[in-house]
Amino acid sequence: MEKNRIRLDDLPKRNLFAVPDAYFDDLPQRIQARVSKSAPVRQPAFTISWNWQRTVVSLASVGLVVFLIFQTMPRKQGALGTELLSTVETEAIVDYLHSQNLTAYDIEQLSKVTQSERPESAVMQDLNVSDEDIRLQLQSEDLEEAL
Amino acid sequence: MSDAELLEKVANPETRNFGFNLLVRKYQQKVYWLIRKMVIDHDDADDITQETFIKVWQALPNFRGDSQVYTWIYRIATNECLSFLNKKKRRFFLPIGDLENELASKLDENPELTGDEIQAKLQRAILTLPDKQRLVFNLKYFDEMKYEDMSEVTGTSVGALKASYHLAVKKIEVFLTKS
Repeated sequence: MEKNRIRLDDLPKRNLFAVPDAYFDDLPQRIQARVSKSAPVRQPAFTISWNWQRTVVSLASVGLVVFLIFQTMPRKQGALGTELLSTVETEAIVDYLHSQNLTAYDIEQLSKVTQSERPESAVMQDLNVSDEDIRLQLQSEDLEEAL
Repeated sequence: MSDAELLEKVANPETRNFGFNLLVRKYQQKVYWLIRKMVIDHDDADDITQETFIKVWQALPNFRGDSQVYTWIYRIATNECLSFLNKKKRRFFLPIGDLENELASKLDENPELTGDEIQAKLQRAILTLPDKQRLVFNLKYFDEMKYEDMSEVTGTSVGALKASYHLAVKKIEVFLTKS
């Protein structure tokens, strides 16, 4: 096998192919004829061509960024309604208040503040003043203003 | 005329066409034979050669002289060739083996073939190589191009080109010996 082996170096280099007569004489004219229809093009310094793969990747990236922003954005918490508070067990509220280290004084102060914020009508009701007394009081205030 | 003088003529609007004509005349045969050995058929080689020089004409204002003119033109020609062969495979859904058979049948039918039987066998052996390895083999064996220049043309490292050529020679010798 080794004895019969054909080596590339032993073969003469010959061109197996041929071209039609005068092919290379005519070729420059044919090329020139095609070229003269178009001027040489100078490429702009920077161009971006459309590419569907780039478009898909860009859209996916934008989608991912929007999703991450949506996920990490702090949620606005609405006010706690009485319905919600009613569902919380008293024991849990007491534990919470204990955890806040509130003293008896703090609770008393809070109660005073709450009372002071009560509507005027509720305060009058608590005073047990009759309607007649209120009317007389208002009349006397009007007279003082007129004087 | 040197490449620098040719480029000077092409750069001057008054002598642009004349300079380009001289450039085509200087390189047309090298480019044509490189392409012909890759695509076998004369009509295909003719089309690709013309396309190559049209691309050279269009790209000449952007040629910065980083590489030699002939390696730059060869690079355009090889890109055109490989993209032609790839398109052909895609158009007809041809696997590599079928394209090889198609090119081999063109070799048999070609009325312009000259030479002896061993040369025809050599061409058939070359057709068994993958396209890029065939290109490397043709550049080295027929054009006797330096590996450094081949590296500029193909964009492949010198080491990889040497390995590719060495393997190609082995494959061809085995094919020739067996047949």
